[in-house]
Amino acid sequence: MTTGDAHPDATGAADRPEPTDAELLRAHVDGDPQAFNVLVRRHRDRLWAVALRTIGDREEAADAVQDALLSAHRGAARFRGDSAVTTWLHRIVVNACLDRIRRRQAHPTVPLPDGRHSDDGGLGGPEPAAPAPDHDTALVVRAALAALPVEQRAALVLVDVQGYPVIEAAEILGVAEGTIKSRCARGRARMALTLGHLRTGSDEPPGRGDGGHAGNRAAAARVPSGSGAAAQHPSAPDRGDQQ
Amino acid sequence: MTGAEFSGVDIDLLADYVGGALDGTPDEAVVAALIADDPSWRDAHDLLCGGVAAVTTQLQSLGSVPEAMPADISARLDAALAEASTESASPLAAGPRLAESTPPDQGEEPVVHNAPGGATVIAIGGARASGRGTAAPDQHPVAVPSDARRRRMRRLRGAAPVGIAAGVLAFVGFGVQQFGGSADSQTDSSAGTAAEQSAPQAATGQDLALPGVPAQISESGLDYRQATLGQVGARAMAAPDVPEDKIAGAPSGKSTLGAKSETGDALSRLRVQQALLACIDAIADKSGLAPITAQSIDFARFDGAPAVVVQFTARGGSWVWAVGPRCGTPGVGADKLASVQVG
Repeated sequence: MTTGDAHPDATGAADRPEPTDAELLRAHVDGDPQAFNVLVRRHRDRLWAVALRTIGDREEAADAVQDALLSAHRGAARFRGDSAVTTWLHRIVVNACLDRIRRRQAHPTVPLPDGRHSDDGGLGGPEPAAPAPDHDTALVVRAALAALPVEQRAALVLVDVQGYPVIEAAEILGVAEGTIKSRCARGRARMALTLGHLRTGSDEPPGRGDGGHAGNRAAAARVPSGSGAAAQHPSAPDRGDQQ
Repeated sequence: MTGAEFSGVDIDLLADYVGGALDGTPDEAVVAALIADDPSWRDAHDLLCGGVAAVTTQLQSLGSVPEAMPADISARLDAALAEASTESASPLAAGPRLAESTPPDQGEEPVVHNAPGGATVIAIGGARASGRGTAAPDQHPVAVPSDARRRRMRRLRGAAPVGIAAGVLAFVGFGVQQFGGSADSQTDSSAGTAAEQSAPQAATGQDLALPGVPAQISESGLDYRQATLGQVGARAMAAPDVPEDKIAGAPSGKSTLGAKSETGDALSRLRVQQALLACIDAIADKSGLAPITAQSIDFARFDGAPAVVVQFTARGGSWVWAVGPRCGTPGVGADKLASVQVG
């Protein structure tokens, strides 16, 4: 799965009745008042899913997507085709989400009675997503995902939840592939601890939904909670030597 | 497995190994040897592999549920984009058109347009400024806010700090729309930041109404001294404002346009987007602090001479640099006049 597979940007225009993403963007820059809307309609569901699952709050996600797409609308002329149009759009949306999460972390809000906002920038409550096959499990998994450092969360949303290839996630987030792998790996390990997947049969089960894993406190303490986890690693994926 | 059983195992390193982040690195063999030789590592590896697989399955299960954009949010987005299209279609809302509207005989004399929302657009006579006869990307004018809007803009920026890493510098954000008094100015600036981070290739950006400006661009005309340079940071970072008359040498009561006329000729080159971008890059290079994030840019004076005063943040702090008109030109570098760390 790639973000641009449905609408290749640069090729196949002659074979397709529909304009490519790149053609639509160019038309928008050239003054076509409808072109950008067509482009947005093509991709808005995926952009929405990424935003909602990254930021975890419906209204925040809506604002982030709107801000991002308005920014893309204004700045379309700057797109040079170095990446797929959809990658560019995803990048803007994800960055808008990360900006909001970080701003929320810097300026904590008073939690609302429904718990929709939390000080850690993550989910304070379940996102209003469509019901999952196992709703309770989905809630717990979402909560564990929301508890991750934002960089790990964003990487896991793109790669594991949305199914984007690592290379595309790297492009969207503007980091090396090795960094994405590391963020995903450490995020999964942390979630595995939180969700109790690292317990043996002799361990006490963790408190459901509270992220408890008393039997693994020492191990949990070794899973980094900071965003600089990857950079601390001797292999230093952030240096790009994994590419 | 208990915490005690995990002791002695670097779960970060093990997670990276399991996740393929160590592939092809020397650590891959190191961890493989530990797993082969050390029972605690072997047990942890087996457990982590199972746990990671379970988590991956659960996350994929989340992703298997379609998540279409709700109708109300789609409608809101459509309306916002329609409004943006309308704005961009207006004569003053198109940067290139604005540049083209500059009479060819204006030379390098700034042409002041009163843009909607109180922003003042200074369109430089692009043809002579760049030595070419037609409008080009590097001739896009830079917008500065009028005094009437400056105070409000600071409040907005204080609420939603906007910055641009020079390495990924892009001109977006504080355009006419942002100064236009809309209720969502704050969120617009956020989007600008996102787009800036998202468009490292955007240095020649044409940001429609006004070529966007990094953070806050002003034209105070203030005459800074070494001793007062540090107050730029206070002015830029703190809202409410530090009154301008608190800045030593400030031409109190002097109109912004008057200040422009004084500094305009000497600094006109830097009111062209690419020149200003090159200047920021030069500051980043010369300071050795790259990447830097511009917080404010003031077309002003330093020790009586025309200067651009740039307040920026970088890893480890915040600085203010005063640079001369040749900032960013080949062979000159930043044309640094003075600098001070303010945070």
